[in-house]
Amino acid sequence: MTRHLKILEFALSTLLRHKLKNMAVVVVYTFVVFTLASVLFFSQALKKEANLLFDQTPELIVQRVSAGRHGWIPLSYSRTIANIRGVASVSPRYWGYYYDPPTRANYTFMGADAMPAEIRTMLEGSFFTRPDRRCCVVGQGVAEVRLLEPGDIIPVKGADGNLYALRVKGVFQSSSQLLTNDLIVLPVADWREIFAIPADAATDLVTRIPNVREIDTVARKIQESLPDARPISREQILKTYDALFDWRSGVMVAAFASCLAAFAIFAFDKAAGMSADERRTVGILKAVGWEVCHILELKFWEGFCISMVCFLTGVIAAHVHVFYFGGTVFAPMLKGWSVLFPQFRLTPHAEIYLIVVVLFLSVVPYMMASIVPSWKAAITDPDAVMRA
Amino acid sequence: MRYRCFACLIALEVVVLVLLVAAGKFAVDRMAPVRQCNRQLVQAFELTDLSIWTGARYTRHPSQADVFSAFQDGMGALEHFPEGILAPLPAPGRLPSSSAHREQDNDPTS
Repeated sequence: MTRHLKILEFALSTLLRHKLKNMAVVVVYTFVVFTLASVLFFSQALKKEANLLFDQTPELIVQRVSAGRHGWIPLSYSRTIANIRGVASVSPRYWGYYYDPPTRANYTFMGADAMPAEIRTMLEGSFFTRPDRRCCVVGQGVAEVRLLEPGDIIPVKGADGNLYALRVKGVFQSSSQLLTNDLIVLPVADWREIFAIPADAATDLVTRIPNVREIDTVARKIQESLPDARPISREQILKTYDALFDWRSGVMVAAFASCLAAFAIFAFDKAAGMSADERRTVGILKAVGWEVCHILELKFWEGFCISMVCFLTGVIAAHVHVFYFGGTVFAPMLKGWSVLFPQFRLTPHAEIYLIVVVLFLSVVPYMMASIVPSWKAAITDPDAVMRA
Repeated sequence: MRYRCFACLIALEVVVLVLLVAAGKFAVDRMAPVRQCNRQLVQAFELTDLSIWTGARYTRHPSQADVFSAFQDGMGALEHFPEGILAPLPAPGRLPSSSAHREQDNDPTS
């Protein structure tokens, strides 16, 4: 035990002798770990959040495709779909987009006439009831960008060119920003009137299927009886989000790939290309009686000290960055050109697994790059090593 | 006795990391009521997508977008939305995952 501690002490002294050089390695190494861990934490947290939220989304959404584009679906389609065995209910959804020139933001307009009581706790203000007209409930992002509070008016330009003044009855709380940030919910009749939608049409149809094993069969039957219909299952929605965040994390890692490559070259050069001074040290150590295993242990401790400090610092910084500061370093890349971008707090999922992944991706290669060349030097004759 | 300083540093960092991971677990529990409310919101309004990127249709509603449309701003197309460039390109030649008889072009972005 004492021997191991003494070799560790000697390794630390060796590292401190080359302070500047090792400091540069520590800074770059920590940054690489920080970037890799941040990307993994961020994408995993968003992916899991989407999966947890959308496991309650409708089993099947049926759209209509017209001339190669998403078109309004006739309400008469709901009768055909409801007659398919296994379908519990079919209900229309009314939604669309609106570009708001003053703020240059895109809003999602959704028509709804009723709201369950339990959702009302998520509102500042109130929801409208059936006889109400020219009113709406807006998301936090819309309220912030238009400086709205319950009781204010938001003007909307209709398809007929007229301005419709919608009174804000409520604002969705900030905790639901991930879902409602750009949402404006208004009565279905107002939605139809503003966007001039025919009375017998909706955006799409929600099909509830109690037995999840029947979803594919129902989707096939819908396409057989309604050839212009496009069913989208819940499974596909969830897979879309898995693919999306896997892709995004991959692209972010690719963006930092040059940085990773630079570090790999730097670390390999530092570890593999032993300097004449280091070779001489190995030779002297062997000449004074050190065994090969002692020299390998010395190099192991050197690599271990640097990689563990960098790994732990990088992972801690990544955790704080993603879960306490919302991934601010990635914000410009994530936000893109969106005017409305939600403020959301992510929670960690499968973090220990991800930490182990980062450990294997960062620490193990560095340790290998440290030990292998020193083993080559250690098995060579001390005289030859010192003269080289 | 440098190794003692090093051991203290590593121990300190390990403790901080363990505390952060533990705090993360508590945060998951603490966020459970908020998530439950959001799930009710998904059920009540039959929502299908996160309201994160509002730059284009296929970034606001990636699961609902008609990315198969001709002359639509395609995923991976040379267009001006950074988030659009980051969204995945539909894999050519891949069969639809769930509905065996669905035409490939009608598949959403998954």
